[in-house]
Amino acid sequence: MFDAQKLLAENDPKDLAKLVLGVLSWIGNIALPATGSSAMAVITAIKVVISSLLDYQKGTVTAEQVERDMAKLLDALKSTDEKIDAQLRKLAGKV
Amino acid sequence: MALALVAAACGPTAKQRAINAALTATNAARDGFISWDDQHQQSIVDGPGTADEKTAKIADYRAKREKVVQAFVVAYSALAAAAADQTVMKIAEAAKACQTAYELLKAMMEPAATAAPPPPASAPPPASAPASAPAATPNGG
Repeated sequence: MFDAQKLLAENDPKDLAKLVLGVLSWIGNIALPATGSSAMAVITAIKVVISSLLDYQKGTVTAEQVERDMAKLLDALKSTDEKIDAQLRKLAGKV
Repeated sequence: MALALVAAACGPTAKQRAINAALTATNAARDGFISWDDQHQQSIVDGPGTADEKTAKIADYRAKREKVVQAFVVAYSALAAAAADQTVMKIAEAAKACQTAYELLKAMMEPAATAAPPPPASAPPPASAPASAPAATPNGG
């Protein structure tokens, strides 16, 4: 269970509040309009908030960490592309 | 969003906190991007049309997506530079790059959320109206 009280107690309230507002703004502006207000969309958005808040607690950011975070994006998109390409090949009868 | 976080930061450890907050916000946008990208491409594959038409739609989407991906690469590179050399200038540049990536992502995702609403039957035909609103193009400065 996500313990918001504990998280707030351990962080600078001002910064955390800004972070939460920023992430909630992202949910309101992007996640829900893009995916529809389904339960799954809300769950996905909440998962993003929780993982973001946990990331925020990690402490000092290093260049290596940032590069790993960027690699996660590129790897995930590549993985999705490969999955979709395989489906398209199957649809086209090329498999 | 990231700009606001940076602008509000002050004090001796504010630089590190600003970088941390900008990275966290960018990662949140990244995770949403990854999830949405998967759903969007899957919806094209599962949608109507021939295999060739779907392949063309996917190629078209990926071409548009590339601009957003590059904006994220720029943002992460700027964040890495800011993390290595924590000057106000580097942090401000990183925040701006993060904001640009966020805006481009938002612009790419929003048309899909409201795509192709059927025109009302009683409405007059549009006179050379654009197919869609142009995407926001924040200045790189």
